[in-house]
Amino acid sequence: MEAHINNIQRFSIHDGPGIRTTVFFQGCNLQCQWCHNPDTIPAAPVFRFQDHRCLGCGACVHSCPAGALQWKERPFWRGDLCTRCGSCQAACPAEACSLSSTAMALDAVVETVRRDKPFYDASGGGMTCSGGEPMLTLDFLYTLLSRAKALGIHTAVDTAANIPWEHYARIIPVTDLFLVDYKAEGEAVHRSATGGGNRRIRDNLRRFADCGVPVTIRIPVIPGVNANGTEITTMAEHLWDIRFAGTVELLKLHHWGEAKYKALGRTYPLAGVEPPGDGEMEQFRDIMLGRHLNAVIG
Amino acid sequence: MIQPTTAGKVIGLQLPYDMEELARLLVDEAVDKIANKPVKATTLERIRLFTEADDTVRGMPQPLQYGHGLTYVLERIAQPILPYDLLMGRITEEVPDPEGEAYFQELCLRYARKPLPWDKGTQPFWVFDQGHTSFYWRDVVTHGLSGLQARAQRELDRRATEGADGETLDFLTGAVLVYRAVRTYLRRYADAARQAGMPEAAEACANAAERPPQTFREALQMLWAIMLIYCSMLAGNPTLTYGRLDQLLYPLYRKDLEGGRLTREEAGLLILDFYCKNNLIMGRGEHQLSIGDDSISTGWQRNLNFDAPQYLILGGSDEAGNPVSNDLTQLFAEQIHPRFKNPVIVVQYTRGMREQFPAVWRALVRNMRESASLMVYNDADVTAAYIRAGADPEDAVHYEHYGCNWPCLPGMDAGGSNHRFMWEKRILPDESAKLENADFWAPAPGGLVGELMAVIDAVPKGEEPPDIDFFYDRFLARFRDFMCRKYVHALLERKVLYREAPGILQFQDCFCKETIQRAKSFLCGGSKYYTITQSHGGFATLADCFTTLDALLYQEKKLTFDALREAMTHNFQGYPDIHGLCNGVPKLGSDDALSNTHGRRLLTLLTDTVYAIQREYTAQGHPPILVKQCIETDTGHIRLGKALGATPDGRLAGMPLSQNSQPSLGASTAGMTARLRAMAQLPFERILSGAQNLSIQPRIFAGEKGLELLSALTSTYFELGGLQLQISAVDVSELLDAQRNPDNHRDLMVRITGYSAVFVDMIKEAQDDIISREMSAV
Repeated sequence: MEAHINNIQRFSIHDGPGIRTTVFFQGCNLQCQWCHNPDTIPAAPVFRFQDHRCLGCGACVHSCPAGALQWKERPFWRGDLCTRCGSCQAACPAEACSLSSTAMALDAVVETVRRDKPFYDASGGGMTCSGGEPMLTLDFLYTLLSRAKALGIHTAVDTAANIPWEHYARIIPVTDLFLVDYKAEGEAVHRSATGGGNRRIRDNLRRFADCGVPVTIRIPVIPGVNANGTEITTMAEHLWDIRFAGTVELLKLHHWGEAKYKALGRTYPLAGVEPPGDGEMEQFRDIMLGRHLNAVIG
Repeated sequence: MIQPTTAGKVIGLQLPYDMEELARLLVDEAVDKIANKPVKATTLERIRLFTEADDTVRGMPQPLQYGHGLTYVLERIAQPILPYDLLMGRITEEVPDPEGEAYFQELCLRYARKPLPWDKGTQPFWVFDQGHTSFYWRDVVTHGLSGLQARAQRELDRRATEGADGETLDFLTGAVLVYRAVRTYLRRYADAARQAGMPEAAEACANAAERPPQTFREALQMLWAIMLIYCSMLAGNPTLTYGRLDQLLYPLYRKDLEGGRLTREEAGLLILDFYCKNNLIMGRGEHQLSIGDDSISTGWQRNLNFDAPQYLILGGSDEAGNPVSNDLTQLFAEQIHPRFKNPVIVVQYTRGMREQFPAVWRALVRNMRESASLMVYNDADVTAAYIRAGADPEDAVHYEHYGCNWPCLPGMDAGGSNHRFMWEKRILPDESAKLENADFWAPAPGGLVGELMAVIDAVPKGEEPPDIDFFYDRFLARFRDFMCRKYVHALLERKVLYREAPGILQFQDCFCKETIQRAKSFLCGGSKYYTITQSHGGFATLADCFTTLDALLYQEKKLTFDALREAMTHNFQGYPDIHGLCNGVPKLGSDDALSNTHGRRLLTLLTDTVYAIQREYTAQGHPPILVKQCIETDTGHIRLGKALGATPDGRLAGMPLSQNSQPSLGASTAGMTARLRAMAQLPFERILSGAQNLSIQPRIFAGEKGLELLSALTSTYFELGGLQLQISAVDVSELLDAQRNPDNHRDLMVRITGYSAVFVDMIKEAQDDIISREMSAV
């Protein structure tokens, strides 16, 4: 069994409790403007190029058996021709060319995750599956979570909740914690910012709250989307309405993913957008606290 | 009997300050001295007194010169006291006026030691203590100075009755004089304290002079007096270790608490003062990297202690292997201030320490997070390595470390460079100096990595080595040849020392385990073990070279040997593709299977080679020499790297090698857990010391959550078998700003190797190295 894995990040400390290993899956069914892993959005791996590393040797172009790379002062990639064979990545001596993910066998992923078990045990950590949207690779995800559980490793799934509930129902028995993104309450705002509606997400949030499974809701606070008192209040009221009892993490916008857009040859949609100030973040947290939610600034 | 306290006032210590104010005064003075002590400050009075003493002892046998000379100094040297002193013991430092400076320079030339051009020398030739050691403190605390003196006197009387030779009797007579001189110094301080209206301090000094310490305060007072004399008046660059004070002093501490003589808070203040006093004697500068630059180097001649810290050991096990941390361990940890340089706290981690002693471990981790001068060693590793090296198990468990990061069996081992110092002091005849000049055991330029490069250079052009074992076999043959020569040199050195200098006396001889009973200096038969150190410097670079050769030539077959060597010869200039391939091979610290394998294999082979040499020579009837195998470079990784061209791992010519037991800079790309796990899987149960500096970004480990993460991370590393860890938590932006605006960052401390340095006192090359290291922080 294989899946396209973008990265396996050891010593991950922001995706669930304790010291964790986060497995990033390829593919997502939303396109959030602020996404800091834009290379994980397409369903298939995409070509990444870091021009500051390039030696100009052309090895990538010469190595491509499908003619998907042409040299136009830099390698120019044709996704429609690319077979994702990885020849360019292997040929590049400077690690300037790469594909956004590699087809990895389940055993290899489990082996990497297993290595840090002593650190998980000591810190209350474990494995987090993220992405992209890991729920889109359901069979692999389910088996990976099951294998981790069998090894005594705490499991978490980071999801945008934009997946049919039946899929979540399948993995709940092997998932100790869900990290669920919640981006906006208004349908139009959500659609504009993420490329998708939020009806199913809102519905899934209610189901998560109803079934009592451990959930942390994570709200990226984005100017122009939800970084205003009105939107945050509406979101807080929804969470209160569905009797959500878990933690709500408010995550300030950051631009750490900007370089990845450049590597994809894309323009970063939120370039230059000023993140909310600390005072604003505290105000938003207080709005949540005022609705008796367990809100923290993450 | 000290009466119960009233709230907030230090009644038990009888001082006119409340605790908070007293702590502030102590810390303020210490931190100010570390950052702002004038570079030209010197202990001129000490130099003058030793010069006078030299005139009075001329013509005597060396041990008597030492005993009478030290007596002369300690009977006269000034004994300053400040109103907030709890422990007595300061030395006067001053910036000499032009006349004083001229006098100082003249004295420096009088005792010049030519082989050390930076050290003009201010000590008479009968003083050649050179520190880097630990005493047998257990006897010192148990018997006190008076008891030790009585023991030496009994040995002297017995041997005199038995008709021992004059040399032996002189040695013991000198030792008795040394104890007596230290006691005189304490008695004088008792009088001075009494006159200053400080009766409790006076009583502690007087009692410490006359009997074994009966209280926690008396013990600390005695230890501080011994340390001050040794580090400020006798030994250049001393780095003397205090030993396991949480164990040695715990019975007295508990007795004081149970008897109502002292509260825990008051004991804490005494420890704080003890720490502060240690910082007051530090000189400015950074001894490894600022040598020769007078603007920042104080030189040993100005301040004997220089910037060398003392070590203080906490935690560890008893002889039955049981962990023995206690409330005093925690108290010593709680009193550490992150801006202190001295002493360096060395924690001996015992299995399960985080769970078994949660409060102790938490206090220690809190200090690590603040970049305090603190390091942790894995008790299981070091004890096992000492036993493998040839120490008896009952001695191995008492191992300690002294600066900078070297292992020792306190009061029981000797050897190494001591011979050189005695020759420089003209204690030994010129004949023995030939040993010093004998460079027949010198390693290749670049150390072990240089040995591998010699193997690579020797391969005939056009010949393709068949497999990676080709390189291992030839490298190990060269290493074995080098080690044999080094071992033979040590045997010769030992022979010369034992034959030529058995009657010499140093301060240390009075505080070793068996020197008095054997009536011989610890260097010349008075200690149980004769030792040398073999440090496998640049280990990770070496392992990376093997890994890269194996990966590119044999596993992946991406290169020919000739092509690789050709690229290295040209420092990879014009060969970006080959350079990229070399850089792309996962290195030690990435937790990659191939680099892990080569790391384990290499360290096993290196250590096995040394063990085999020890066995072979001992079997031939030579006296045993305990080889202390370490992975320690201090800052030598920069020097070693400068001597080397490009290497197979992609390292460019002249660049530093890996430092201490750390991965090569930038080699660890798979995250902190991967790095720690990869390093912990090395067979460290063969290695006695080697610093693993872990640079962290302070914000990652902020708050209670961050503290718990760091606690889990570090304890797991040790549970997995990691050898040593010290944490450096500095913002790179602060370092960069300190380079631009040094005056704004006078108190910015950075971890080096088993010691800390004021960043702005380091030369730029060293600052840049630190910045590179910190930029790789997680």
